[in-house]
Order: sequence, then C-alpha cells, then structure tokens
Amino acid sequence: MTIGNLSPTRFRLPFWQRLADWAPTGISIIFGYAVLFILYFPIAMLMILSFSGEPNTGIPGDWTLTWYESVIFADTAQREGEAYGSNFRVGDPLLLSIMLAFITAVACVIAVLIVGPILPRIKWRGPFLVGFLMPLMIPGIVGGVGLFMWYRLVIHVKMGIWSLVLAHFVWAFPFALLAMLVVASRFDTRLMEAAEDLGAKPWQRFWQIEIPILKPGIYAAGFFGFLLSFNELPFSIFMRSGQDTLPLYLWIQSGAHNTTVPLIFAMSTIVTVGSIGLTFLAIKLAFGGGKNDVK
Amino acid sequence: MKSDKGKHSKHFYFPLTRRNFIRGAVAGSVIAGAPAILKGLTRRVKAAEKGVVRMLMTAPTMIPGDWKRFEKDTGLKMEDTVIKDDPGIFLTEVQVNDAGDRFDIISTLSGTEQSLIDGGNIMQMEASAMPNWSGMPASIQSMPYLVRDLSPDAGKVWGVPLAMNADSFGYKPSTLGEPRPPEEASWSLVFESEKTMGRSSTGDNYIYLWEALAYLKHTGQLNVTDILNPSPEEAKATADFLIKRKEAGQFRLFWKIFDDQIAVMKNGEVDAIRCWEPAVNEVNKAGGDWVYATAKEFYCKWMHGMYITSQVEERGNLDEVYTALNWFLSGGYAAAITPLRGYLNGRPDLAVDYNNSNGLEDISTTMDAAQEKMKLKFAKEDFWFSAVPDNLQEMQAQMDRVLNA
Amino acid sequence: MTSAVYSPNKSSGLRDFIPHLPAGVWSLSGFSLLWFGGIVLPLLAIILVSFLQGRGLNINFDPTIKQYERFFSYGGGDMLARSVRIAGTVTIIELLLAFPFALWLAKGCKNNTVKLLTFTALTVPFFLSPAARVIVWRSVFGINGVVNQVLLGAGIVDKPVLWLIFSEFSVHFGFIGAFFPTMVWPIFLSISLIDNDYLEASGDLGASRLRTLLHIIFPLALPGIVAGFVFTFIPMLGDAVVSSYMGGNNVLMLAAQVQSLIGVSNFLVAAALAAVVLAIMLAFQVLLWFALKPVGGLAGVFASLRR
Repeated sequence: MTIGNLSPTRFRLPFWQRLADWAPTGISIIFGYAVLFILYFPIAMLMILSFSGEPNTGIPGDWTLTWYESVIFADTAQREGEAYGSNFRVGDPLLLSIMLAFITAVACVIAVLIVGPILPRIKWRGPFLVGFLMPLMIPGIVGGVGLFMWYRLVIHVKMGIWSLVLAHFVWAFPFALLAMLVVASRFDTRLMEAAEDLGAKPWQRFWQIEIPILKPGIYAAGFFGFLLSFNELPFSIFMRSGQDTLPLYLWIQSGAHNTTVPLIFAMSTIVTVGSIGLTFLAIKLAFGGGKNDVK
Repeated sequence: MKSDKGKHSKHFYFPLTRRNFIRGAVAGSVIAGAPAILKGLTRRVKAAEKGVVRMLMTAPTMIPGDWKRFEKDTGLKMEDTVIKDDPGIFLTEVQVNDAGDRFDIISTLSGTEQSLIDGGNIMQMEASAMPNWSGMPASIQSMPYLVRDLSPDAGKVWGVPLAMNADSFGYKPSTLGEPRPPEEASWSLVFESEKTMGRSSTGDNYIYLWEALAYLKHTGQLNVTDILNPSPEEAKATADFLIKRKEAGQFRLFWKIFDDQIAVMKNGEVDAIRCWEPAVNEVNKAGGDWVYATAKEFYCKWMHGMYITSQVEERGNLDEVYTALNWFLSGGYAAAITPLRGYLNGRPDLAVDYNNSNGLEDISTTMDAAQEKMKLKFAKEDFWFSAVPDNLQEMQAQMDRVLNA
Repeated sequence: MTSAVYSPNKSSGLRDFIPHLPAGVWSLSGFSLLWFGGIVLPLLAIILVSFLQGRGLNINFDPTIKQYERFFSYGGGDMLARSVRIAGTVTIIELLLAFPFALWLAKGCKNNTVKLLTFTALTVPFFLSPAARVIVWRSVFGINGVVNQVLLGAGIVDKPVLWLIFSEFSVHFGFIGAFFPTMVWPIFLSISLIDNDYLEASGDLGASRLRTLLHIIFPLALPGIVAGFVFTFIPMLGDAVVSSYMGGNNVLMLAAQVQSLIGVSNFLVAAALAAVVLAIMLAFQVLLWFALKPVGGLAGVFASLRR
C-alpha cells in the first residue's frame, strides 16, 4: 500500500487490512490523548476542588468562593484570627513573573537569531554547542548559587531585577536555541548563495530570506523562552533581591505553618483560565489559518 | 490559501499585522509591568524612611492580614518580607546579599545567632529599651541562644523571642488505643511501634533526625554526650536506626511541608505523625480525632528570635525599632499568634488584657491553657533546638542517607 | 563548504570559517564572549570550588577530593543512579508515546480546530507550577482514594493498594503526564518542517509506509527528537517538586538532594554533586556522539543539510 493512492476504482479491501492500515494512526491518537488525559485530570480536579470547602480530601462538595476572595482581595479581605491567612498576596509576584517572561522571551529570540542560523554552518559546532547548553548540565540551584557567588563576591555587583532576568535567560536560552536549531538545521544555504548572486545585500538577505524561513523557530524560541521563564524556580532562588517571582513566592509560602493548598488551587485555576485564553490567541496569531507550511 | 498571499508580497512573507501584534504585546507588557518594577526599584532606593520598620521574617511567625493592630498600637508602618528559614538560604541572604541594608529587624529560628554574631550582622540590644522585656520569665530571659557570651546582668541581649513552642507528635488515641493528653504518650509510636507499622511518618529534615537521636538517648539505645550538639558519629548511628526502621516498613512517607502533613492526616494514610501543632487543630476542624501528644521522653523546643541588623546604627532609627520589637513582646502579638497556632510569644500573660481593653473576643481560656501547656512542656529538659548545630551539614547528610535508602 | 561556491574574489579565511554576513560574525563573537565569560566561567568555577575545603561560606584553598568522598558516602551514588534511571525511563516512554502523536498532529490531522485545541492543551500546563499539576493525584491514589475504592468495590483486591502513592510507581506516573508536552512540541516542530513532497515522492517510488517512516521521516525528525529528549530529560532531573509530592520523599532524587544540601550551607558538597552531574552529562554526549557517528555526531544532527 502506498501513500496517496486512493484511486476511486479501487476495490474495497478486507476489513482486517483496512484496520491494519488505520491501526498505527489510531493507536498513536489514542495513546497521545490518553496521556493528555493523565496530564489534565489533576488540573481539572484542581479547578473543581478550588470551589469546594475541603479541597485537601480530594472530594468536591461544599461549594464556596472563600478561596477566591482570599486570593483576589488579599489586602482588603482581612479576617482577624482566621487560620487561612489572607497573607497570600500573589498580585505582585504574578505581575513580575509575566513581565520577566516577556523580557526573557524577547531576549531569547534576539539571542537565538544571532546564534541559531550560524551554528549549523560552522565547522566547530561541538564546543559552541556544549558551551551554550552548559546551564542544562548543572543542577539549577547550584548554577544559581555559582552565578550568585560570582557576581556578588568576585565582581561585587548587587543583585536585583537584572539578576533575575539573567537567571531566567540563562535557563531558557539553551532550550530556545535547541528549538531554533531544529528549524535552522533544515535551512538550505543555497538560498543565501543564490540571493547573493542575485545581488541582494546582507541585510536584505537576513530580513527577506532567513527570517521568514526561520519563522517557526523564532516563534518556538519565543514560546519556550516565555514558558520556561514563567515557571523557573531553582536559578532564581539566589539570583534575586527584594522582589519575588510567582514560583519563588509559592515556594516560600510552602514553608508556612498554615495551609495554603486551597489558595493555591484557586490561584492555579485563575492562571489556567487566563493562560487558556492567552495561549489560544497566541497560537492562532502565530500560526494563522494554515499550518507551518513554510515551503 | 492565506499563506500564499504572503508569499507573493514584495517584502515580507507574513502579513505585517502579526508582527505588529507581537511588538504591541511586548510594549504592552513593558508598560503593564513597569509599575511592578518601579515599585521594586523604589522600595530599595529609600534608605531609612521615617516611621517605617522593615522586617525580614519567616513563615511560621507570620500573622494573617495586614499589620493593622501593629500600626494602631505603635504608630509605625511595618513592611515585611517573608523568606525561607533554611539556614543556608537565610544566612546567605543576610551575610552575602546584605539583607541588613534593606531590613531593620531580621527574624529566624534560634540557634542562628552565633553565625550572625560572627558575621557582624546583628547588634546588641538594650533590654531596658523594651518595657515588656522585664515581665518575661527568667528562664526565657537567660536563654543561652539569646544571651550567648553576654553577661545577663549587663542588661544586654543579642535577640528577643518572637514565638516559641514545644513540639511533639500527633496521633489518634481511639484508633491506637493510646491515652489522651495530658496523659503521656511515647515517641515510639512514631519511630518504633507495631501498632503504627507503615502508618507513621516524620519529616525529611535534620530536625527530625535530631529527634530520633533524642528518642534513642531516652530509650537507652544510644549514648549521647551532648544533645544540644550531636556529633557526626551519633548522627550516623541514628541514621542507621532510621534506615532499619524504614526498611522494616515503619514509615509511610517523609513529609516536606505543612500541607503534606495535613493531607496524609486527613486522608487516613497515617495514625501517628510527627507534625506541627497547628496541623492537629486544622485536621480536627474538619472532623478528625487527632491529639497533640504530651510526650513521655522529650520535646523539640524551638524559638524564633528577632535581631536588629547592625546597619540600623548608621540609619539612626533605633528607637522606632525598639518600639516595634516591644510590640512583638506585647499582648498584641500574643493575642494574634496563640489562638491561631498555639505558639507563644515572650509575654503571653498580656494577651487577655489586650483583647479585653480593645473590645476583642475574650481568649482567657485559650491563653490559660496555652500557658499551662508551656509550663508543663518546657519543664522537660530535652531539648532546645538550634537551627545551626555544630554538625548541621553532617546531620542533614545523614538524613539524606535515610531518604536515599 | 568551500569558497568556490562563494564569490571567488573575496578572500577566504574568516569568511570561509563562517560563510555569512560580517554582521553575523561580530554579533556571534560578541554574544559568545558575553556568554562564555559571564555564564560558562562561573559555572566552571563551581567545578573548581568542589575541590576545596571549608564549611558554609568559609572556604580555604586546600585542594582535596574530600567533598566527593563525602558526597558518595551520603548515598549520592545511589541517588544519582536512581535519578538517571527514573528520568531516563520516563523520557524513553515519553518518546515512544510522543513521536507517533506528534507525527499524527503534524501530518495526519487535517482538522485545524482540533490542532489548535490540542496545541493549547499542550501549552497551558506550562503555566502551572509543577506542584499544582500533580497534587491531586495524592488523594486519588491514596489509601482511601478513588482508585482504591474502585478496586476494593470491584473485588479485585481485598486490602487497599499501598504502592500507588509514595513509591517509584507514583513518581514515574507523575512525570509521564507532566512532561508529555515538552516531548511533543520539538518533535512536532521538526516533523512539520518535512515537505509533504518528500513523502509523496517516496510513496510514488514504491516505498511502504514503514520504509518511509524509517528512512525519510525519522532521519529528518532527528533534530526534533534530540531536542525533545533534552527538553524532557533535563527538567525532569531538575525537578524537586513532583518527586517529593508523588514519592513522599521515599524516592530521593537529584534536585531534592541538591536543595537540601544548599539549605544547610553545604555548598562544597553541592559543587561536587554538580561536577559529577556535569561529568555524567558530558559522558552522555560522548556516547551520543558515537551512536550518532553515521550522522556526524550530536553536533552533526544539527548540521545544515547539504546536498
């Protein structure tokens, strides 16, 4: 059986042969969505439980909105002496995380455009690759400590927002680079040569040939830069001063002597709903109506 | 096809609209996030603002809501930042990241004082500058961690207590057929008991290795020279014991955070668990039948202390800092923390009067019970917990060995 | 890559080395300088530090391998072996699950709405903290959880199953769900770049679907597979949350151990651990280089296509 051979005059194959034809596809679809179900079941349950009075037991019921009140109106909903502290002020950390994620995404895209297209074409790819992927090979928190000690003790620079940006960039860049390399390694260099022969200037070649073809890589790099920075914890633990990102804030709150799980459920539901809308929009705009049919 | 349209356009492959959207998104996020960044920047630029006290504290001692009571009572504004109380993280923040530049008061688990003193990060306090200090029981006033090398008669201390408690463990008396407090229960329910085989739990930290060590000392299984500073060999022997118990299937899990404790207690995974006192209260609120043990052998007595950073001297807001510290030693904080978590601050005796004079609920039963409990529990000799024992790293490493087994 | 293809008038040398815009040369060198100087150097310094002595923040410059001895005496070897084993197993499982799925998404799925929805579904979990992603499983798999109740009710077991949670099974299970998207995305990316013309041509030339898969799709998707492997394996190793929630700290893994070391200011042993991990990673790369020699090694996977 060959691909695309669907001549209308073909006689109908026996059932088992049609099944064998469709089976691989079917199995991959079923397994894939099964794993997605495993991924989403806890998230869905979490969203349901965020409305229930006793989320820790895992059984929904006792519907209430108190957790949402505590999360959204943290500064004003002060109930004196209540065990569930309305100390859970996620507004600032959330804002900072989103902000940093955008900055990291932009930085990753720029960096990846510098490094990505060139890397598949040079001779000594290996050392460069190892160097750029270095942050992946060291456990995150140790890397954070190392960078912190270096900048603080050797170069004597105080930590701040810049160090958070650096930490997020250091973590996200290798991934963004890999994503771009996936696309850049398919780049046909003869196009560049042809363009040069036709008299295109270097800048024109870059903008009108490279970028359009590398577009999926750019989007992937930006995507991963954003997502990886949003949830980044180990590197940020030491590379910060004063402001906390959302993962940092949640990590610190986990050391509390009062339960924060219901509040985390409520907050996660809000984040999930927000991100569904955002992601849908972003993907639709990025990839448009057709799929990545670059060629 | 949509993509075809772009292909034949003169300059760009993809329609301009999308790139503009992205540009706009970036610009928008910068504008949206600017307030957050600016707030963060300006917060650090202000050095010593009049009337503001900045405190670096840890989660166990936080009270919910804003600091309205504090502000009303002292006329000062409180800016608090919460940080983890792991010694590595806290000490690095203070000593390497210069937390003293940004904070006036720092608070963490007791035992850290020596490291802070050695690093020159905290300054001595005049005990007389805090009126509520004199009413504290003498045993607390002369607590070695707070006094260190200073002679108590000189009226100076390195730190004042914020909150303290004597930790034991929680268990279900009816399920296990054990007596209820104030009758004593043994730590063996957690470490070594057929009744709780596979249904007991303790934490994953060096703190809980230390307790196992105390257990071994009291059951005569291990010779411990100084329980306040376990040696590496003692830690290793304790770890071996715990590994044996783990392999025998004693422990269901080793919990990491407060929510772990609550979850396994509520879900019926354990019958005896070394936990923090608020956990028992919380689970019982949901209909459980747990009690916090009056332990037979020992308690893990801990204290969170407050210290003044050495940079306060240059900043010159020392009196405001003393006023703030005095509030934490007063009925205001006591009335906030004791009914909430069962922990006591330096002057629990002031709490009832505070509430009555402020028209808040009468908490005399709670306070009396708490003070009784403290008198009873603190009387047991072993052991005062220090966040930074001499062999801290060894002990944690041995605990990691237990978790690895 | 020869200068003969380029304008013969220009001199070779640097142009030959990087056949690209001069602007590209400058920006790459500039960036590399910043990167290697400001980031790789400190990370390498960690390796150096692991050979020193001291406690907490007081470090003396006495070379020694004591930190490594201590690390392995704490059961570090077991822990590393376990972490690599679990992460490796789950990553391979993910690969087997994700590759067909990504293939179908890229080439088989014609319905754009389904594609869009699936992509959203694959991206949204990234916004949630790993804790939030797995925490519910604890109550589902617990002694009194749904699964046990069903099993008991159906009579399949007479006592609640204990190993569903706080065991290696639960750690594997938690990882599989949480890290699926990271494997799907890169593979999808690389497969979607495969020109449909190739597939049609291969079919027209008489190759069976299996042959097309093995000889056309698989090699062309290799960069995506390698990227997916890295995207999944590395964060899995660096994950302290899922393993501690699902495993109840009965299954100690790399990141949790590192956090506990740093939490007690044991920086030197942590540096030793980092050095060991780095060594393992480099060993992997060497292994991969041998395995992928036909394609020119790991770096060769990302080499430009030459025809």
